Amino acid sequence: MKEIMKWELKNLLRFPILEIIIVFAVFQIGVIGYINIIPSGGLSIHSFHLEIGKVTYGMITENLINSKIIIYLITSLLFTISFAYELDTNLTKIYMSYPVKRRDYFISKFAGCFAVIFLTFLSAGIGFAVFIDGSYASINIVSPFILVYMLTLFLLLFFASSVATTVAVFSKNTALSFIGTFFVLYIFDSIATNIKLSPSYFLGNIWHQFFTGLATCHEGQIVYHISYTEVIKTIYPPLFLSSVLFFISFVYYTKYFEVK
Amino acid sequence: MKRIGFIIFLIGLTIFVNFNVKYMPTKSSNLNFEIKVNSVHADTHHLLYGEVKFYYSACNEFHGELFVLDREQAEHFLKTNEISYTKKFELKDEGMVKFFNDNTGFYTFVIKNTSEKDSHFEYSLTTDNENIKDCIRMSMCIAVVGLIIVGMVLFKERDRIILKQRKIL
Repeated sequence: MKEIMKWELKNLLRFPILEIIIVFAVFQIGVIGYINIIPSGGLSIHSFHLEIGKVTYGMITENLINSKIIIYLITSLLFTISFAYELDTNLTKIYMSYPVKRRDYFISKFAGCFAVIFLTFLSAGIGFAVFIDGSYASINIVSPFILVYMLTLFLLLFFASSVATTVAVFSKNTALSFIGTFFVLYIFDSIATNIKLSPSYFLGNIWHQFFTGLATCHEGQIVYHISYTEVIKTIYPPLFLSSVLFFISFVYYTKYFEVK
Repeated sequence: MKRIGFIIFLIGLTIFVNFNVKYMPTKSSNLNFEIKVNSVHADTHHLLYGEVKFYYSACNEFHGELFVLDREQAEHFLKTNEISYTKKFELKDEGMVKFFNDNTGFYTFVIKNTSEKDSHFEYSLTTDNENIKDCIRMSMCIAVVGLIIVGMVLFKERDRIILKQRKIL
């Protein structure tokens, strides 16, 4: 499995794929959006630092949510290259002729693509948090609100990746997989804005729950009133759908998939 | 190494394009609050490079002071309640104060009421849309660093080839 993963990463990180992902990630995240005002009087240093991290990652997460289309485009591209393109060029056939478990092959491909996009966008987010104010860099790097950005990125990426894998595995065609994945994601996102499974809905909710949630100040310490049951309710539907899609494509790939 | 240089160049170039193409909000919303005699009110704002305009309005016969604090000064203020500042302005009734901001970043504004009665205070901030020269300069620096790395690697490669050719000869 290690060898397959290594080969997969080598394949995904070759020129110019990584460069394209980095450029898109920086273009998407690297701009100063609206930054909230921090009422600082009477705060403790710790609470002041928390608020700085909150407004910085609030802005970066908002930038990510506002341009989801770029994530859809990159996910479609990478998963098509990894699954459908290798079928078209008979590379999968060659791999299957070796003593390689299909389960390992599928998981390596999925994890490789997911890790490349996730880590690139995460680095772009942290890098820009440092860029917007160098003197607060040490605070922004260790801010707990980075976890909210990671959660948002994970959910969006897992959703897009599951859809992309399902389309690629079932279509077995490069062009169909790329165009199909992109349009399925884009149309679903545009039409189903009020459905709990739609990225527009659940990402917007996460942003509101974590970044605009109530906060009270008591003796200089800020207490964030984040309702975790509400957050779980928001996260659960997309996570469930993504897992189901992942499971379907995994079972199909390992049990019924025919390489012609 | 050549690839890393190229990636750094691309990052710098993309940020440069972003700052030139995308919209950046330059006006804060209005802030209202009551300020008691001899008390202070503090808010932290993200200010862009360039001219910052501070529009304020208070009750008649209001006298006050506005202090602009950077990170160290803000932390010192939160710890000790003593104000050390980078900029100080006198405030009276209503008006506008403008100053030049050298670096884009977070700054804490402390407003002190020095008049003899409590007052209602309202303010908003604006910065010029074109004024992000420091961010643009920094993105250009990142791009140039990338180019230098690529250039150095290319020169080294060329030297190595020349040395090899000399050895063959």
